[in-house]
Amino acid sequence: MTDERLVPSQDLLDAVDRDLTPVRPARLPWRRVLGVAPLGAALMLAVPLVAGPRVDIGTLGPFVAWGLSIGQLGLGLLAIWMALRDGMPSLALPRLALGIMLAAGAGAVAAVTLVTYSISPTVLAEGLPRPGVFCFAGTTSVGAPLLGAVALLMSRSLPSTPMLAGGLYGMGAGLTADAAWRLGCPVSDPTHVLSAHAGAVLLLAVTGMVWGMRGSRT
Amino acid sequence: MDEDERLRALMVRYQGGDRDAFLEIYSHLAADVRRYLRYLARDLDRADDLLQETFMQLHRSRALYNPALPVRPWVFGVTRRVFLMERRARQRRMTHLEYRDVLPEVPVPADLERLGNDRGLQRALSTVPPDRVEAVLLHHVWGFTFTEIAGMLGIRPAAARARASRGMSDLRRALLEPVGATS
Repeated sequence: MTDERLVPSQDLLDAVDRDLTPVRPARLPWRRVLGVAPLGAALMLAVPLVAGPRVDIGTLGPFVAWGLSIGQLGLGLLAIWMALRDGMPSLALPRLALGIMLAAGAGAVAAVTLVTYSISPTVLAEGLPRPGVFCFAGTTSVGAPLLGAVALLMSRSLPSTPMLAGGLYGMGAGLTADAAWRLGCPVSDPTHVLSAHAGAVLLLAVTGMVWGMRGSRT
Repeated sequence: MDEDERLRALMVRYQGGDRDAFLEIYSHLAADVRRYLRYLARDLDRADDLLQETFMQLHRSRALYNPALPVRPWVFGVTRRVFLMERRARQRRMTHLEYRDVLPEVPVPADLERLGNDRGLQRALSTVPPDRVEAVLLHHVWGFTFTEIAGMLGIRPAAARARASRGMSDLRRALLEPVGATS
């Protein structure tokens, strides 16, 4: 190398010398998703076990109750995988695919809600104190640990579109949380589900977006 | 041992804390990374600053590399991310079009060189959409596959192929046109 501008700067060499601690290579995105999948599955089982299953679980049958939740969990993990993949510099996915995934997530929540309501139309009982707030807070609380775990995995990544990637893993955590919460919530009324449950999914997705944007500035 | 295997072995040594491995990776890739940055930044001084920042980021993100992945696309991917981060940080929303008047000398595919002199080539490059030029450079100059380009740019491999192909056609057409016909 004769061109002096191609020589590593002293700042760069100092930074390398300051931190040459051996590091463990990151696992590929699909393996990292497998790492968080048990947490998602545990959350999904925890809600009906702790709070008790929804009262109409027999009416819904195993496919609509458990099957749709498992499908939604799978979609959530797929969204997280896409975000993790976008965070690897040579494995970026087309922006269109990321956008389609976001739309698919929103569509899935709406579709699951409508299918559930069509089979077992249960509405809010009169006199219950703020059930919407309870479900919103509950779904958000269930999704928060997963969001934190994925945000940690993403913390050193380099997404091509940080906001979109953040939105994707936030939505993934939200879809997983709603997949769990719907197994315990007895209300299938779309106005309740699409405001309280989907509102929590949206909050988690927006939190992921903000996190992603902040991460890209550091 | 081919270049990719050698670079992967160096990355593994570097991840294990070997300073010499970092220096070898740097000396092996810095020239190409700087050329790529010159194309992206359209500013020679900025490209030199970003070269150092790219390897700084590479160092910070060395744990993110997985030895199952080829090293060159990974480093070029980091380069592109660093450029985008810097651009976001400066809150510049200029398009490549706005940079065209200061397009620096960038490498061109060998089979285009015979069609014109340096000035003609630079003029031709400035008339072709930047996303196509980028695909042409990545494929025809630096030898990346369309799958690798797709992973770096966040597009489909078919789109990478189409961009490179259309870019080459545009460049040939621009080089064969008489000077002044495109302005």
